[in-house]
Amino acid sequence: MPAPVKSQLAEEWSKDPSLDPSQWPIQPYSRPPLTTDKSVKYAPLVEIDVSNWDAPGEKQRLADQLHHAVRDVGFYIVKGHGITDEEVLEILAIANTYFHNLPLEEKRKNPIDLAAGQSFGYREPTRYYGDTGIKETLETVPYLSPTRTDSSTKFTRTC
Amino acid sequence: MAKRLLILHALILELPEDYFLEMHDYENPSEDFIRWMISYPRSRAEHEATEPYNIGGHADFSSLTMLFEQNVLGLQILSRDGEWLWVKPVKGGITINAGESLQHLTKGMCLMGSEN
Repeated sequence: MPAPVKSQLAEEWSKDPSLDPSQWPIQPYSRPPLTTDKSVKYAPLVEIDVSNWDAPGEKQRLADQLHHAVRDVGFYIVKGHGITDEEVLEILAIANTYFHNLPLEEKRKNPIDLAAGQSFGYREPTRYYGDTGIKETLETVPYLSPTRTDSSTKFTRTC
Repeated sequence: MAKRLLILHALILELPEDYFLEMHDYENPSEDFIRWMISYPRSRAEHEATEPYNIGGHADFSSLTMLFEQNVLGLQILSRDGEWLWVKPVKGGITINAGESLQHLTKGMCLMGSEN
């Protein structure tokens, strides 16, 4: 039986030196300020804090707290996860550099093939919404790094 | 952290704690990935013109998706009553979205989230 196509791609992708952030000049990134928009309706999501994990009975307490979210909502918020904001901002800075500073020809070396049902590769916003003449605005890339040792790989292991 | 969440999912379903852990081992080859995503701004007029082409939401294929907040309104979720509600960014919080794989693995006991 042939090896699954997607995993092969993932493997090639992870070895491509053009996708090694340690070779790029990383631009710092900061978030826009947090604001609340009173005109929109927010989802009431459960927030759990997993920082007290080893305390007696804690796991069951958290499970009880999460029961409804898991069975009936499909979304919840986790706090106390031990991933620092510096780590998150570092990853966002790398991603931001990829989108804004990496030459398009570099990004195009690993195009995604949506028609073949693939989920790996660079997705360039090239398509138009019907006959509106308006181009799609979403640009994505999965950063897959099982063989790397850089900060992104470290980060995925923390998650 | 995902390990802790998977243990909680097992407890909720009254399964052995490590039920989901083996199939989510970081040391084994998998399709686990971190996705970078950017959505460029467009005008309200452009947004309205493209609205008929909105596919009306999706669910993730994953077991669990973690979304790292950036203080922008970028995620809507579908409630059981069929209403689209916005997700508020929470300082220091990670938004977790259960995907299709988890719903399948739990025979529908865990609901996958639908998002837009």
